[in-house]
Amino acid sequence: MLKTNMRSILNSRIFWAGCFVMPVILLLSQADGLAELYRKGEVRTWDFYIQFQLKGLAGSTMVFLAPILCTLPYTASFEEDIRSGMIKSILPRTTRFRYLAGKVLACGLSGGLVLVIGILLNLLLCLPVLSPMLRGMEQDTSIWPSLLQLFESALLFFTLGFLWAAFGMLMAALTGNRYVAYSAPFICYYLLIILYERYFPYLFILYPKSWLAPGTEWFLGVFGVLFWLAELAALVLILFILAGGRRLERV
Amino acid sequence: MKSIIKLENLSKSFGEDLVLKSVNREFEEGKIHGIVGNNGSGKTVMMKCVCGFLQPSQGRVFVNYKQVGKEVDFPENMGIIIETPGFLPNLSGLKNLELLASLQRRIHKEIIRQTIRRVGLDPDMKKPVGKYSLGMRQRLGIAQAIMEDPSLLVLDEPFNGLDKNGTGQMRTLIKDLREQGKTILLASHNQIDIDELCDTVCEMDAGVMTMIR
Amino acid sequence: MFKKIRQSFSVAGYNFRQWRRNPRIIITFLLAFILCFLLSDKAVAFAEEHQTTMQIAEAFIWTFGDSNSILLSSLLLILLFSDMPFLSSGTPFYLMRINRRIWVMGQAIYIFLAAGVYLLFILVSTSLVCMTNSFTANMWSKTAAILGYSGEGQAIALPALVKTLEMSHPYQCMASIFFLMLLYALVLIFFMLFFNIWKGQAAGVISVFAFSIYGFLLNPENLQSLFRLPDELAYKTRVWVGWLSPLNQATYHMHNFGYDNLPRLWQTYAIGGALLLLLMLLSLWAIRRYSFHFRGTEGGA
Repeated sequence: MLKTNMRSILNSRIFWAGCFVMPVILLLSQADGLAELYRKGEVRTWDFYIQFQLKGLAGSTMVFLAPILCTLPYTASFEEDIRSGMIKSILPRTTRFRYLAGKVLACGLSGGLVLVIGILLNLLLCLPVLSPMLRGMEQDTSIWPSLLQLFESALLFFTLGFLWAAFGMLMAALTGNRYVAYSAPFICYYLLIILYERYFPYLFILYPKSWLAPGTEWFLGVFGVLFWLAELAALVLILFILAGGRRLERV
Repeated sequence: MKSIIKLENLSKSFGEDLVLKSVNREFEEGKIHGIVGNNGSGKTVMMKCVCGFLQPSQGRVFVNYKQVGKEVDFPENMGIIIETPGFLPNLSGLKNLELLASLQRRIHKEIIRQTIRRVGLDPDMKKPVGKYSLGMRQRLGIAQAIMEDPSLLVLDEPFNGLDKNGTGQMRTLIKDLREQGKTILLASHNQIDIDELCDTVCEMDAGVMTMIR
Repeated sequence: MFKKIRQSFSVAGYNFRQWRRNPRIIITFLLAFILCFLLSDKAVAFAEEHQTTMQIAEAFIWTFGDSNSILLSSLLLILLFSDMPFLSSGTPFYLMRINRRIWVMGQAIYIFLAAGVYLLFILVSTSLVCMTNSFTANMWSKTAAILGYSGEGQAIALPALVKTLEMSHPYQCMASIFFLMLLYALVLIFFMLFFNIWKGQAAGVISVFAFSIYGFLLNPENLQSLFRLPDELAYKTRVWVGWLSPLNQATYHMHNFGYDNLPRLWQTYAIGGALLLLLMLLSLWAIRRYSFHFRGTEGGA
């Protein structure tokens, strides 16, 4: 079931459109910085290139865009299967558990992958734009710390994308409405930001901006955040299987 | 016998699609008039023009000697079922009908309860309409159409979703309504309904109405 | 007469009953709450930075005293009224018991009340997001004084102007801004209703965007920089735009408080009221030829 779902995701235009939209918007959001670079005409290092990417990912545009992009590919698919009646043809060919588990896992993977592939595409697409100004590294410096930072950032985005996409599918299953699939992650994301910034400044574990840029308050740093997000994702998966199961009883 | 419904050169088009083509027909008072036809023949569009929901592209519709869309928006003293009946899904059947009856305040709550029983439903059932089966919703739709004792009924596929017993009960109900002097316009795919109930039968085919009997 | 009024309210009540557990309505209000947070962030951040308190209505005043914020909040109304002209499978049963005009009056009552509820929610939400650092007395705060008199308000694009501070108190100012926003929202939605009935749903949505773009483009600063107008002409442009642009009519500080020829508040209320009346009459005219198409029985948005 998971293989079939992943195949349909990777063949879908919306998935690839989401992957390509991300680097375009990131580039546009950093247009001022790029113009400044070209104006100054200074030569930069590869390390600068990676840091430039990281700065874009940490910007307010990505904060806004991430919970929307990750829901585009597959979040509404469970609800669409039920609405279209397709579910009646699918269920006799599998079991309820395999269908639900495969669905939510594929959804989560699609959400994570759209962000990670977007980051990779951004790296590739920025190269021709910035490469005229790049040369090697400064003496006695290594590119590996920056690359590790980028890898950690990609991992965080993947886990976050997985979580939000699965959450969207869960909310759609609970409400029976496919538009909730697209909007619930964005709404929840900002509600958590509001709760932290305005009312509960000690609840950093529920602060989404802190998940993307963990500070010293997190035990084990990035791995602490990854572990926490994985726990939340597991909870969402279990809740979806329960909610989805109840929804299937009414088909 | 006076004509209660008169269609005068009634034509209706949607864009370039001419759905009704110069329909001329009079329907007499106190009879059941059957309309038969394939899907897409124009039955429902014709009924919606009679009800006043659609404005004719050409021609006129008179109900009780009043031109629909000019002298009246919607014919007075008429009950309808057009397409699948819709109700507020969170309220019970009784509450839904009470809400509709409150618009004209012509009937008492007890009449509504009697009407609901008459169509084979329980007025005290607390189940919200959103959880009704198609047949139950159809029965409630019929109850809604007859509760205020209208003199004219326009029923588009009223037996849709009803089981054999339910269909038999509703046929008896419609015959009783005719005995009370009501005029009924009835569209159905079921030949038995048409043969058993209707005094006159017209066929709609590609927007053209032809009298069969 | 009383029967017709009762029937109109019944029609409006039927529309409100569709709000129950309606995901689209819930999403609209949640997005509105988030919008209030995002738009009021500048004002709240300023107060926190300067460690000063705010009057509870000030976040609303500084946020929605700006035309762009009014525009954004009104665009969410399109989501709230996206099922205009509110035809469901139960509508035929209502129509048979009333007439077209009563039905349109019912929709008008529904629009008035729904827009009022929505804007009240915006007002409460904006107050809630700053409530931990605010007081309720009807006087301007130190934050307001710094924003208005030091010019820092202009630097961070908050419409905290001296004339706003001097001409009224916070609650009166809040009430004026609320009514201006309500008037703008109602004109926008009635525009949508009229075009929806007259020319169809697509025309209704296009009319709303056209109305919004028209108001947005008639911005005095944009026009001044676009046409490179000298100061005397810039002033005249400002006055003309203040009268012609509905968005500027809805903006509190684009009114005459005794200094200039911009419209006064009562003039804006009168113009708005006249426009609403005109749109209502046009809708009553358009409904005569309207063809009702009812959507299916399945519940949900």
